[in-house]
Amino acid sequence: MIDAAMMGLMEVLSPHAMGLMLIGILIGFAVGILPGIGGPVALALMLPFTFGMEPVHVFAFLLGMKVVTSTTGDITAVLFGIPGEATSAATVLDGHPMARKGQAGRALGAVLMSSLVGAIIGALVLAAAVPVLRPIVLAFGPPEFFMLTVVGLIFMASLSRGQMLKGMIMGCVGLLIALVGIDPQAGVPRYVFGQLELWEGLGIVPIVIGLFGGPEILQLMLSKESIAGKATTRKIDGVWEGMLDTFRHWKVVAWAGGLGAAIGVIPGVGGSVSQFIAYGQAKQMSKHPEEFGKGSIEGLLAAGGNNNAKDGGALIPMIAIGLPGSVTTAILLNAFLISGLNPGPEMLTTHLDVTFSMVWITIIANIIVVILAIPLLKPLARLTFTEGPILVPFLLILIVLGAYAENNSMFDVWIMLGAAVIGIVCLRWNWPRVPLLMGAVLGDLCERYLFLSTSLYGWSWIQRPLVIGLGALVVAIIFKTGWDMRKNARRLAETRA
Amino acid sequence: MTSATTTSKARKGINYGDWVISLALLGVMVAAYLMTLKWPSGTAFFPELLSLSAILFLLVQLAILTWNAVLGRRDTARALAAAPKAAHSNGEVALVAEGDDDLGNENEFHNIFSSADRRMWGEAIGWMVLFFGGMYLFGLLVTLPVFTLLYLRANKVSWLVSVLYVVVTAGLIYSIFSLFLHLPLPTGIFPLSGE
Repeated sequence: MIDAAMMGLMEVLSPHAMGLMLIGILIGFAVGILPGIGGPVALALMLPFTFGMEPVHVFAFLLGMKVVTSTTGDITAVLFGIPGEATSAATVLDGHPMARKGQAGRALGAVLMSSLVGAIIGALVLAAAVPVLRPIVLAFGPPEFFMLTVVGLIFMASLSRGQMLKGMIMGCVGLLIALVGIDPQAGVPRYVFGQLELWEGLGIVPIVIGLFGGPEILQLMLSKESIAGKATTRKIDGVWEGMLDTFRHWKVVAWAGGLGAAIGVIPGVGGSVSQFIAYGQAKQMSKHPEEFGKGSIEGLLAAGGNNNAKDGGALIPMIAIGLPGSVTTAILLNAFLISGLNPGPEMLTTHLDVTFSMVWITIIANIIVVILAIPLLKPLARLTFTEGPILVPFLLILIVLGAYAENNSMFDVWIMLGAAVIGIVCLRWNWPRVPLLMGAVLGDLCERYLFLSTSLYGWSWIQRPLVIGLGALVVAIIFKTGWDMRKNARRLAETRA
Repeated sequence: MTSATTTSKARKGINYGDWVISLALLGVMVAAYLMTLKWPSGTAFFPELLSLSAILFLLVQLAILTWNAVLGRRDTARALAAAPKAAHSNGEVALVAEGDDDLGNENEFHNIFSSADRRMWGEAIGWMVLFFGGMYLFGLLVTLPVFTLLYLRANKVSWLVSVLYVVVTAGLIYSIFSLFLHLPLPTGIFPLSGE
């Protein structure tokens, strides 16, 4: 195994592979900074260029590109509150408030370094998991997947700052939004109101961009302030401080990275759920949980460390059993097949060096991204001090292109506008947005796994040990949140008295 | 920096926004449930489960709102969000993001949205309508320069900066999407730019 690992490293360090990786990283950076044209679109556009390449070269090019798009998604989330992908949504929660406080430099440094550390953790988990891949992936069946989606939703509702009931309502709304379109089991159209465009369902990217980006633009129009507003500090220079924060709070990053890699393994669920579970976990561990959602460095590090770690985990089911868990891994699976590789036992025996080369590419590409991005962070952070009216046209273009580019459809732009209205209403009247987003992301999976669970096991799936464990976790989260709300209400009453 | 002000209303006890949103969502959920009645059982099961759960949660929420209205108190989160307003003893609030570290991003947004007066809302919505309407009619490459120039000039940005801004953004968008990636841009129903 060590031989294969070293062989994989040598192949990645060859000038040809390194050159392709650099090209991939540069393309990923340029394309990934635009919301909507994240990892999947960039990979799909570049896939045809990989015909005829050696497998390691293919992955140096494509994986290098994917790694950057994860990071650039976090950068726009911090600066403008517009996450590049649904999996960057948790970064907005604390990263953007930090930018609004005038700490964009520190936030960018923190998210960049925590992404690197998270990616290394993810890659190490991938390497460590090689001998035991199959049992890990197969330990989870549809009932456990279903319960994991429920845990993610309840976690998110519990983080809605004393508004768990509203969070659960918004979670249900999000889940229903996800059900718009053709029912995959019976082929019956649901909630489509005669609109053909709705038959395929509502895209997540327009919803994410609208919910978070729309209110940001409107507040800039109304206040005409810069994003950093009346911030008392203007720490454009805080990049190094942010990077050091990663090591000061190493436990948070390690937990987030570990959770990202572990939950990222689960097909379809990984990226979306793990970021919020890591965020919730960091909040539980923190000595200052009240700062979460208001610009907590720990919250940001948890989201950043988790985001890139999940990529390592997500590769595991694709390599081990050829099961892609996301659009990105589905495209990478195509690249596997194009280069003549078959996922499964072959990847753990005869092509073990290729598997290890993917581990090395993940690590090396992330290091290169950090080195390349450092000189760009200061100018990027300066954008948060630009007057609101200057930013508005640029941000409007970003959200329109982000919504439009995925399907080249104006309908998605209108969906984004609708989501923006919902986001504004939520902010105006204090209703949580994130549970709605989580529901919209997970609704499809939630229903599919519930359907599979009842079809395969009747209702006896409820008695499975892992399901019972996850169910107990849900109950514990609800009770803990209820207890905290009670405490807060008492404290508020005492303050008033 | 503009610091427009507006009068904040004290609405003790009754959260009108929460009432309207809760009742609207209740209506949506009841409609969502009724629609499931026409579907086969397998198709209807999950939406039924969700809409009924949401109806239950909303009824609890309405009960809490009623209880709070009877007792004349506001919920914790809203009370916290309203706290900065209380700091303005003259009954007026500044329309800017508060710099207080204890306030979250969402509370800042809440304050800005709730303090803006009708003229400001009308102005912002008007610009949005112009941008999205223009894009629907004439496409992005036509709307982008026109909107950008008008918006920047209306906000007293110099002609030089406005024109440079338009040239750089339109040039970048056109180069990346049309020349480099060969991706289509929104063309509108009356395309003038030949996108």
